[in-house]
Amino acid sequence: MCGIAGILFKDPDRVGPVGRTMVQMLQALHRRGPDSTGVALYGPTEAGYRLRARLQNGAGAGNGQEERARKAIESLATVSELSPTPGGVTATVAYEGDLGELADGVEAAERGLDVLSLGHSMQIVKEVGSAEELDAAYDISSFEGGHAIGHTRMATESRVDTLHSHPFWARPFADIALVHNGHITNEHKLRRRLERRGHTFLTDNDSEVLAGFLADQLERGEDLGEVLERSVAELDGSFAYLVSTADGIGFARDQFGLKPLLMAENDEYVVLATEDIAIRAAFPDDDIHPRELGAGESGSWRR
Amino acid sequence: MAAVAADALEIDCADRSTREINREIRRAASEGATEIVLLNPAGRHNLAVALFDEITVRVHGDAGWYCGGMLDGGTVVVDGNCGWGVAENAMSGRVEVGGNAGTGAGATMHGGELYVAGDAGSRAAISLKGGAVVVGGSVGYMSAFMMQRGSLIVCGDAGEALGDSMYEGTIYVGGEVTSLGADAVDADLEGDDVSLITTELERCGIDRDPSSFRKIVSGRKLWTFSKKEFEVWKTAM
Repeated sequence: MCGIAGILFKDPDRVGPVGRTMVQMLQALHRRGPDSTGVALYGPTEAGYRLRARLQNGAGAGNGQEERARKAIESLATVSELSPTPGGVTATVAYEGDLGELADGVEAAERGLDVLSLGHSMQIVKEVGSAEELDAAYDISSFEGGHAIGHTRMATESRVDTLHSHPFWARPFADIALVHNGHITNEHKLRRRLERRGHTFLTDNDSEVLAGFLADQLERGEDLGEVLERSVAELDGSFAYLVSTADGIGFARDQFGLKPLLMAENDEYVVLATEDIAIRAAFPDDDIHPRELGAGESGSWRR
Repeated sequence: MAAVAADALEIDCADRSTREINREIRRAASEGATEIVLLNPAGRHNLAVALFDEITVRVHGDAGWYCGGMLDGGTVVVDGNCGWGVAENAMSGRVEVGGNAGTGAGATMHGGELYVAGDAGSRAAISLKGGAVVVGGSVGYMSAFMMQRGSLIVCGDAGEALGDSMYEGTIYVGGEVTSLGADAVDADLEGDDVSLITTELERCGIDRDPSSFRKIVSGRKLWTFSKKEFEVWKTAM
């Protein structure tokens, strides 16, 4: 099962209620994935990096972990702002260099600190529980931005916790995230290929590998549309996934069309979701016509 | 699609569980109601399933998965779009969808009719066992896979592997076919075909020249195993 959803407002000069839309869509898909919920939200592009990290024991517990997290990040980057979140910390940092080294270094400096996302415009928020619970903890609904993707998870192969929740940051590439419904059966091969090139992964989850696999190609300057199209032949298993970048969203479905994915668009926005129930939760009365994307189909939209 | 009757009973889906909605439809039908309108369906699954009475249920908006499933009598009219498995395993009756339908439209239908005015997704009319599936737009990948009886009429285009491993039944396509599946072959359109297409299209209010349709049937090579035709089996498996 699992449910995935995405929203992109087409006008690059305007922001839309992407947070509220994601909460509505993901809550509607809750029954497809009651284990955990997460979103990758894209706001205005900032000069520094927004670093979101998870603390194993949560912040504000008076155990000094937040202060140690600050020190861990400051050991590698200049922190201009750091605030606690329900599950960890969010920092705005200035940093020049390899993002993999920053993420790995921060985690090595403080045990129990895991970097969830790094980007100029992207923030990943994910927790065990429902979309409404995530919204209550993080006020996702008030977030305005250009686009977002999200996921409700029914775990099948790896553990139920924050780190194994989607979206996965395409570590170590800034602003790239992925949500996936399905199983990638040649995951181990792809994982080894990326690890040989120095990539690290936080989990044993196949979707995290898929995120890295796509981002690795994008970072080498390849076109998003071509990467998505090729992935249909390169990936084994069943999948419907969404990938988000600093300025757009892409999707692909496996060649047998085993995992559902719908798309509807008008002049203002494009919306994608596993089921129409999610699209109608966010846009109940709009004159849009959700269409099931074809088996083996892929595509992308840019703001 | 006829206008809504003035005395139609309205059921608001917003404040009811799916089970409550379906029970209410059945109760109303047993008490002699002839028409029911479902308001605020919002893509809900399993609406108007297992109807046995001669009643019309109109879904005002989008329905989710398995709408009109196991239908045995009666009519379901969805004026929006439908998800997976619309009219799945229907025995008799009629389902009309004003918009698009998801994967497996009319899957394993034994009888009755399904009309999708827009496009249908992958595997439309998969394992069709009777009745007619009419699609005003196009159908996706592997439609009519392992079809056993009945007819699939597609006014638009058909995706890859159309009619793969079909046993019997007939497919008619008005547009382009990306590819035929294993053991699906072209056949000549005959008088009976033209009258069947004419009848079905008229019922759906579609004005198309029936003689412009391409007819596809089973090549029957997969009916029995033959060593001489091992290649056919190798491809099909």
